[in-house]
Amino acid sequence: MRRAALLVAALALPACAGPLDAPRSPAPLDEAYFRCHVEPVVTKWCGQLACHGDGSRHFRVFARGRLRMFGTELDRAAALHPEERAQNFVDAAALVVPGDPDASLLLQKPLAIAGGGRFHRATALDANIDVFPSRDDRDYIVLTNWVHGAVDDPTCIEPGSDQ
Amino acid sequence: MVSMASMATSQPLARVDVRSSAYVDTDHTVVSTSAVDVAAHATEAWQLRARYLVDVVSSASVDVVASATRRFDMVRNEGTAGASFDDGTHRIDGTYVYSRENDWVSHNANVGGSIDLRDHDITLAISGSYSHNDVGRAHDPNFHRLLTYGGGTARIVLVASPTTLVSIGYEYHHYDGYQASPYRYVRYADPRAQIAVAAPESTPDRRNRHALALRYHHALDPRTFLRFFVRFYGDDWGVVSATTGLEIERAFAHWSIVGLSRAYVQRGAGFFVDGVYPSEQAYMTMDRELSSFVDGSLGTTLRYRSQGARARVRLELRAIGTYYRFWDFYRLPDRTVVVVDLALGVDR
Repeated sequence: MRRAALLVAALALPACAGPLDAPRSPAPLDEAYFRCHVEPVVTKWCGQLACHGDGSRHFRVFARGRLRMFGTELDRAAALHPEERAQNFVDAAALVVPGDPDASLLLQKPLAIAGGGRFHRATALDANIDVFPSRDDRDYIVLTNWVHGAVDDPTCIEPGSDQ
Repeated sequence: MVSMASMATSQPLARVDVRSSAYVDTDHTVVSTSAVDVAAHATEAWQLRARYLVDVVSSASVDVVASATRRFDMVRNEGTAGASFDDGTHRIDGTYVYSRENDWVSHNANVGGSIDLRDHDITLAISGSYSHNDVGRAHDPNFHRLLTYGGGTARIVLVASPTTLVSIGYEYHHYDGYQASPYRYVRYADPRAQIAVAAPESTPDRRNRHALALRYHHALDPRTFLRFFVRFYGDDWGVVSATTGLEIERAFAHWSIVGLSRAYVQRGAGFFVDGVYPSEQAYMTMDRELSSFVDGSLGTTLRYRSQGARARVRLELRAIGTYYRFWDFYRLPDRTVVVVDLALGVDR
């Protein structure tokens, strides 16, 4: 058995590549631009409770009046907590491909197939819940700008805040 | 090997095989496969072959089930065309396989050859293959990824004694392209987030796979045959595995019965993590086939072969049960698979 293990190790060694558990370099995404421009788009279009406001989805969106991380039913309409904003940011960032932003699911999923996008279950569940029909949509352009590196003033005040 | 020399003259002019099998597992997957094979000799040495196969898959496996996906049904069609030359000493074989399903189209080509030396006591064989795959995603006409792989095998078969045959073979395959699943997501911890973050699965584009196999066939007596094999595998994703199997066949007048067993143990890929990755990595997967696991199979095959003057009829019934134990795949600790296979063949 020991000989067998050595043999297998010898077979595997010649072709070994670099470290397989190397960290991934995150895409350079601006938190302020997300908070003040992208998050309002995502909460408006994606955060319905039957869609990405469902906490069991891979991609979740925390939004006022919808999915919340803290509190009771009475707090559902309160302004988003910093933790919820941070979660929305990293959840959206996880759908961005570093170095190849146009391949990002954040851009491909909400775009209609006829416009070059990917299949999105929402269109199968309810024809009225549509994605962006084309890349020219104003809100879609916001998503595109963010994944391509758009930045904003870190002191910008996000829509819907209590400030 | 001596028997191989006589095959060239005793081979049937034409052969038809029909096969149907059912696969059921405890991971809510059912696969029904039907295939028809035809082969005919154009000359004494040249044979032409064709095969059509259809798989019908219905699955609610943990691999694909998510909050938005419950169960999928899929049909795969596969066509094969091939030709081979066999003069009793030299063999050349070429096959093309086209396979199509709702999210995968592949073209495969295989060529191989072998030669017998020292009065058929030694056979040297080599083969090569290339596969071109267009990986898609159901309902997603804009999703296309390319996966190609190719490789080869080299094998030597020795007649160690009149009742014993031994072979050793080496395989190498290089994979290049998309090898993740567009349906699977992974979760990782991010220090900025309260809840684990989900991202599409990602795996290295390249993979080099090596395997070494040893086989031992022995006739215990003219009606009882023993077959044993062991196979070692390693790749540069860190997967290392060993397989061993033992078959015993007992022949009667027209019937034979085979008892078979197989055991497999695998160490998972270097980037596989059970559950939530502790941080964001370049490569992350939820593929249970890349986890560490062990499986064992037991089965039996019952064969019948008639000895008619004008046509020979072959019948085969096979049943195999396999139990998998996944050591580090929390979503599916174990799985049991049952495969039942029925084949009918006619030679003329």
